[in-house]
Amino acid sequence: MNLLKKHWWKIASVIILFYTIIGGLLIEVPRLNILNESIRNLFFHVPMWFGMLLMLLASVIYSIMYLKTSNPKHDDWAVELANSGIAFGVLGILTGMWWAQFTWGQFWSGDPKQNASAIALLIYFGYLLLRSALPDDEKRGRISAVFNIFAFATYIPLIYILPRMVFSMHPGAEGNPAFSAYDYDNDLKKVFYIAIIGWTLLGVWVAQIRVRMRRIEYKTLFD
Amino acid sequence: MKNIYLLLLFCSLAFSPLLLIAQTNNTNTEKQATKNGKIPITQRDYENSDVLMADIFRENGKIYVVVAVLTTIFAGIVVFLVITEAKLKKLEDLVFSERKSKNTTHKVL
Repeated sequence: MNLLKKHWWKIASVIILFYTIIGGLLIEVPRLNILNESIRNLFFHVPMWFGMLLMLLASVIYSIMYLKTSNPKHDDWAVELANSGIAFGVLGILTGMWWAQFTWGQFWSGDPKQNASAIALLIYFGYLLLRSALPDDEKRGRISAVFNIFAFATYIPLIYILPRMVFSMHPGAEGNPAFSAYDYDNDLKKVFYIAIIGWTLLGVWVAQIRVRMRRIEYKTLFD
Repeated sequence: MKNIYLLLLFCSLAFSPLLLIAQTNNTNTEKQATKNGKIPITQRDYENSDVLMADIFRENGKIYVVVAVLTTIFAGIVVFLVITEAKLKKLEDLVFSERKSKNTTHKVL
């Protein structure tokens, strides 16, 4: 019973992801040209980006809390949530490249959203690099927390706003064919929105494990 | 001092919707016919047979093989995660329960 109280969200994540995989492959989807069956990537590729957004948002909140409280636990969560988010971002770029190869004809066609997400990832690599360059715990925590806030403030316009203002093959931009209409379609929504929750929880699960590893590391190093 | 960071974040986030508004104004003037560039999905999109889908794959029932493979892989990853977490729990118990038996834990570590 205690197990269920503590880990219910992990169990939920696993159940949701089984639903995503089985439902995502088997439900009826619209038969659209160019996309064909690859429309099912909506349940796997797109949640990577939404999951990344949610985890980076949580990371920046922990960074602000760290600046307010100087509690190292907040810094641990900030960095590990950023790590999970970045991992999702890398997976998002890679899965996006596969999808692009078979619908747009090229792995990398310099689509504004592809370029912007690559830049956003580089900014977050900078965050990890900055952390590894500062040996002092207190200094590293404060400087990287400020960097994290600026990184997130750049990330949002880069990925979610700027690509929508220019021509992009991604849905949401003007003159876009096919399935920019997916948000009209209720059958796809049934799996898609739940899939976002499932994938995000999985990322948080990994982040939590890594935060706990950090605490053991500190405990054994400084005692 | 700390409030300045919060203020900066708030300002940059508050600025974002302005860009969005500018964008919707643009599209409204350029493309009004397509409802902000969106094409609604109709019943026909589900029923047509001129777009190639994995129909034969499904008729033969082989899609369930893929479903089985993916669920197996995912189940494997979950089991791996759970085992990793169980090991972590053991380590935590070892490290954080030093008050009870300080000497023994140091020997183990």
